[in-house]
Amino acid sequence: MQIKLYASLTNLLIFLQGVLIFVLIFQNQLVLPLPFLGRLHPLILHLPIGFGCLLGFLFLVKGQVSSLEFYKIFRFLLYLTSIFSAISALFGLFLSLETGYDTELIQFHQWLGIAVNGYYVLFLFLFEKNQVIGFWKSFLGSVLGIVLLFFAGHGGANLTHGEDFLFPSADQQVSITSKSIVFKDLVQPILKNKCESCHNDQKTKGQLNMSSVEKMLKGGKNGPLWKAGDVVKSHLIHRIELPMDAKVHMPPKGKSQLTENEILLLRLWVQSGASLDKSIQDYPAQLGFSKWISSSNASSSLTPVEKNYDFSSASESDIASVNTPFCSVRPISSSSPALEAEFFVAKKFDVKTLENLSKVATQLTALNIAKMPIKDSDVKLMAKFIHLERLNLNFTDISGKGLMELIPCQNLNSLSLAGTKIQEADLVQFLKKMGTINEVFIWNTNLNATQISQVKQLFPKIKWNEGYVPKNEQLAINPPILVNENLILKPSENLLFKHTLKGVDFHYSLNDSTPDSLGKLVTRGPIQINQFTKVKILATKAGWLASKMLELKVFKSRFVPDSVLLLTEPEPKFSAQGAYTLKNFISGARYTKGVPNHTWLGFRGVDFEAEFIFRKDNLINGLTYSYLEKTDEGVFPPTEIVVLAVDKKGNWNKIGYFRPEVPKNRNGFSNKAINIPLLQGNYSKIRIQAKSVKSLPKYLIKVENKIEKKEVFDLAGQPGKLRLDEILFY
Amino acid sequence: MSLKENEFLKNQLNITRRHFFGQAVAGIGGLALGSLLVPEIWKGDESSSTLPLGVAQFAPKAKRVIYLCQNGAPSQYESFDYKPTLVKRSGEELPESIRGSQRLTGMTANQDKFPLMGSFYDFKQYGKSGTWISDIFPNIGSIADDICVIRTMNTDAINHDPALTFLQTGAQVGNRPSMGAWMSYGLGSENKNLPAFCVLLSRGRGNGQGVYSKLWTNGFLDSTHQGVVFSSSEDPILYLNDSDGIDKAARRRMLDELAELNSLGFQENGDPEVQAKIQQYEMAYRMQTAVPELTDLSKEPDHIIKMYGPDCLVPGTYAANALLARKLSESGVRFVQLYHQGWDSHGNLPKEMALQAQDVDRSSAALITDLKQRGLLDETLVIWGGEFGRTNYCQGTYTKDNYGRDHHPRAYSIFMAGGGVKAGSVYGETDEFGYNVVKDPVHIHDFHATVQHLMGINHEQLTFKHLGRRYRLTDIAGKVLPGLIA
Repeated sequence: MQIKLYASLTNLLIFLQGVLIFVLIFQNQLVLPLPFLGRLHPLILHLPIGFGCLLGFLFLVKGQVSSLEFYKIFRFLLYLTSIFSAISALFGLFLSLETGYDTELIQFHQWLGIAVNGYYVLFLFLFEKNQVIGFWKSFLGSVLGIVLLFFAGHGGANLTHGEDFLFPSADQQVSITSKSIVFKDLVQPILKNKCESCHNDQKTKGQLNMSSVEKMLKGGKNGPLWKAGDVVKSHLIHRIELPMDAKVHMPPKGKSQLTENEILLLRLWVQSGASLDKSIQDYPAQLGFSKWISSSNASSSLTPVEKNYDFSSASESDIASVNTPFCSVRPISSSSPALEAEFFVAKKFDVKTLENLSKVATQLTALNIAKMPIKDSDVKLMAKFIHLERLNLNFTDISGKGLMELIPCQNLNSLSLAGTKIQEADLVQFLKKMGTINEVFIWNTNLNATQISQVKQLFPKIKWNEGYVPKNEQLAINPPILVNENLILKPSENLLFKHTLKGVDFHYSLNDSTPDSLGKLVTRGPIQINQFTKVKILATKAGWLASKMLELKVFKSRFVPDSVLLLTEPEPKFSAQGAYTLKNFISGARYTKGVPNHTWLGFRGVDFEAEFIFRKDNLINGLTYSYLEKTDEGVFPPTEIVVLAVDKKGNWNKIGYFRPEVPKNRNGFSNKAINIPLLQGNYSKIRIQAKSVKSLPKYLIKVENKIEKKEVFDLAGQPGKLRLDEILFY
Repeated sequence: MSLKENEFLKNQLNITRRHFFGQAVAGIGGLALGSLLVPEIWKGDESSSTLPLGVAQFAPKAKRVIYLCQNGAPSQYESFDYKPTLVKRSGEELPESIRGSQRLTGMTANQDKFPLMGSFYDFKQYGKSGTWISDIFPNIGSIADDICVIRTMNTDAINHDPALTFLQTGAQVGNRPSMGAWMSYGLGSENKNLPAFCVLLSRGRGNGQGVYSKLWTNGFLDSTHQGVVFSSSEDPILYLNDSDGIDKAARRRMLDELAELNSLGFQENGDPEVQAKIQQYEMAYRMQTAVPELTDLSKEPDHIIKMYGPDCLVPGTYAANALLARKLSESGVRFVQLYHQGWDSHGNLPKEMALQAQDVDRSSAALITDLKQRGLLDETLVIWGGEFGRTNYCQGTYTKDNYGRDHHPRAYSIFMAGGGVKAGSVYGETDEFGYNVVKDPVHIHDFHATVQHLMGINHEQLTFKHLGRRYRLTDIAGKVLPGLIA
């Protein structure tokens, strides 16, 4: 059996030597039958190296086995080494028949490989002929083999990985400044790293050699590598941008690929003219080459560098299960395992949601729980988030006692505590235990300026955010906001103001005097109004200047007539809602010519007279007559107003009289009102007569309206118009 | 097969992949109603051109945007593009060589003179960065080191409507999704109780230009991505309260039944808008609890109110909207869009512009400072600017202290802050007349590409197939400008 095995191995070895010699002689005429055999060379070559080394290392255990055993193992290994060195050399020859390898280096490697084979065959021959006897001869023979293997192997490695593989030249670490040459310092290092291993002096795949600028410019079998300024026609860019699956994508699948940033740079460089000698500063800034200026290397990136984490992603189902409508948990980006969580809507906060986050405790790197009603006792739930980097506790109810629970979170670097009841002592104690924190938000807390400067001194490395420091300026607060929708108050209504800020006082006057912040009438609540009143009001608050004054004309109706009868006929265009217009609580609005307006009751050339009927007697003190004054259209106040009431005998008696001032000027739209006090008494039927102007004054002469280039008609001498809004009784 | 059935079949076959995922998220029927967040991460899809929705593609610099749109186009010469030459040569004719072939609007095309006009206001340098800012923006000046002024924005349109539409949707024609809609589509909502895209309107005291819903439209995207306009009254969202006699439980039952009916309808006609509707009802339901918190100012310390200015207490003002924008953004709203009208100063510019600046200066600066002190500025991109610039020559007759400026699309200024932009910098350069870009132009498409990049989106890959082709915010143009990015 033994003899048969070795006989076969010997025969195999002799056969292989024959084939090897044959291929060596006829290598230029051969067409490879099985091309993949050549590709097996990089695999097979490791066997003779391994066996060869083992032959040498065997001597380490020589003393532990009998001489016979040692002889047997050594012999078997020697056979294996010889046979596989032959196969390896043969396959190597096949591989060299493929094009694209540098002939000089390959010749060297080829002959070294054959020499290794020859050496082991000779070694085996002498061994079998008992010429290698004794420790020293066999040991030296083995060691010499290893030396040969080393050189042959190194030659092969240079072919495959490029000569710089073991000792990359140091110029890649050149720091990039604005004076760096884009091609030499940015582009070429990328090409060297990612392309040159297959396109070099030794190995010119696709007849392309990229080892020097001159050779690069020659291009490969498909022509030049790039066309300056034309990304589309540049092979270089075209190939690297093809999808991975494309056959001609470069670098080939399995080889180290270009990063997005590198592709961007190459693209930019070709696009901007592929200059070989321009430096970064020679390019316009918007091209963005300055992006690559950096302290140490060219890999600073347009694409933000993502932090790498050594934990794995949470499962999709876990992420889904911790998401609620009020808590969003999401990955930082599509490729990152890190998660960030944010809580929303304080009213709906549920501490169970926070507990539940422990499912993704490992992955959580940012937590924003600001404004949620969490207490010190809830903080310990966050201790599990050991990779937490950013924690936002702004405007929560924590006091700082709970912070100590966060000591396990030793990755924490940003802590937001604005608007909390944090105490200086607690904070200091906590920060002493946390070496990683480099940013703390501390504004709007109990810490005063001295305390803040103390903690700043204690932790100078931390960036303290004290927030906006208010300038020492006095600003006026904004005026009160009127709540009432309508300024005509119904019997039960009061005048109501509010303010968005808390603690605001309203100072007001009801007698047309100017209120000031010292005035007596101060309120935060409703203001009672009894009759038509001009209200002046302003807001004050400590730390603010008083607001602008608000002036309002407020109407008040204490008694609403049950029915109103018009005794004279209104203008058809201004009949509005008839008599009801006087008690509809809708104040008169601006109107434009031709657009119907239902808020004014109008009379032209006739006086106004109406009867107001109450179901029962009322103790009425007076009435408010509200009207429009717009003298440029002839709308005037009445010349006089007479108020009559019927007594028990049925006679009409005058109970009030008023003579409004006649306007002295042409003017535009203006809502007006007058209070007319009445003789004290109980009334159930009241008549009001308002006399209209019989002849309009002279100032309403013809004028030219320059803006509209129209003439305003002469109104002087014509009868005036009345426009009534509301008549209110108080 | 009847014609009708055939149509249903066609419809079902036409359901796009996005819609399919949309359904998977929303769940068919009332199961997982209204989840705006995509809980699954669609990674490793069959083609690399497909984007995961609801999550950033790569680690974003900005998570949220607050866009302070100055509607009507504020003049760059009175704000951020300091041109002493114009002051010196005021009244001189605009050189033909500078104007070149620039078309003019109908408002100044018939002018026979184009007298140059320098700024009425002085400029100062602010901050360590020494950025030149006009005297009517002292507060923005005080935060000069936090902002990045772009002086070379340029656009294709010359009139308000197309320019604003272009700025907001990347196309001058209407009905393309707005920036905010794209963000909502691409990144989803952070807070499921609020819309991902909110719109706040205010009106200044200058000559105003309209805003219209096409500026915040979802276009061809699902209508859940539409901008939700907040009312400028005290109730920012109208009709949120349950009507008398309807309690929470009844409302819930009503919505559940309605969702069931809608799902039946969806099964029958497969219209994804039905799903969108169900989600919107759910959103409104949840907003009932979330919105009162937004309008509650009781937790705002007095000095914060002072920072924004007391106007922020008056609903509907720019200041109030700025404060509300912070609260919305803080609550996880992806895209808060403000519009402040009144910058269209064709005449009376010195007076109008000062009033406009008074409205926005303090609160714009306050917003940025406020975000910063909350640690939010790093992740929130604030954009301030209009749809185009104004001419360097006077519209109408030249007078020293009262003038107007017409529309100018070739170069104008905006500023950005936070969200990964280069703080304390000035980008781009215009010629000494401020008329043309000399260095580093920023076209609207580039601006969009850069904003999306900051948000963790590759603008070339966030697409939506509509009417047979894929659309994106930048359509077929746009490049990310690394010079803007910190």
